[in-house]
Amino acid sequence: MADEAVNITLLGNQGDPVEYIIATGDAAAVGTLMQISSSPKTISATDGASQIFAGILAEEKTATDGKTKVACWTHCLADLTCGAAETMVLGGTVMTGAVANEVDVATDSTVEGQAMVVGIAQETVGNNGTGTVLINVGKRR
Amino acid sequence: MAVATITTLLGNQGDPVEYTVAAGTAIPKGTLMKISSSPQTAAAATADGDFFAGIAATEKTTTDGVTKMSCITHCIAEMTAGTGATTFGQPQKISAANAVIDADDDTVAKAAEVVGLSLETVADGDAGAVLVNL
Repeated sequence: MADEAVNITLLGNQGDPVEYIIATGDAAAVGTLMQISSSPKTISATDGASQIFAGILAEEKTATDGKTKVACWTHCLADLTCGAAETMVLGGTVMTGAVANEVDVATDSTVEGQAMVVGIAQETVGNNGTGTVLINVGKRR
Repeated sequence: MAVATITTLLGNQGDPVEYTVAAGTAIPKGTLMKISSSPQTAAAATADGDFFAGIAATEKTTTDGVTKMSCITHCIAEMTAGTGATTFGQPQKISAANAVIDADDDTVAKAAEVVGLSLETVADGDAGAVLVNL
């Protein structure tokens, strides 16, 4: 995988980590954007647009480490990669992108769905550029 | 319905917010609270359309004379599903006392009615995890 979140500044209480369930055979790097993929509280790496955002993976997960629980940071600033042909605008909301670990500009329906919002852009960048996003999962807006 | 059970405090010890409450009311710990009047006054939430204030952090009885109560505003809590869908990944709203269901677009537009983000799909009357972040 590529484009994991970098330059992460933890906010709240050490990034307000939340523990989720993960499939034991999954592999994902620290900084991977994670989605809530099934009930209850089960996550996997994001791999498409408009997914339910769970947070940023806070620990390495390999396919053979036997782990079934991992923590995700839910409150932080992080540098994320903007999708191709997308421009995230300062103050605008972003959602999971069509490409893994990238973010696209959130649509109205995404914002109404709330859970699909990754965060609020802190700068204007476009077309696979990297910009800072304020992440605060579950924050009502 | 059963009161909420907080399983994880997030933020700074759950980011408690102090509200004014009526002296003569009984409020069990874990009650889903609403902002009931101005200024900054809370009471137990009872119905769809209530403005969610947080989860009662302490027990309050009718005779303890207490008129201030803290509500937890940032946590993961087990909440009882009301009558209707409760689906993972969906914003939740109050449906009855201590019960939540999937929020509708109108609720989401009025953000103050949103209780939190459901982390699991549960049947009516069962308890499921909700991420609260006011």
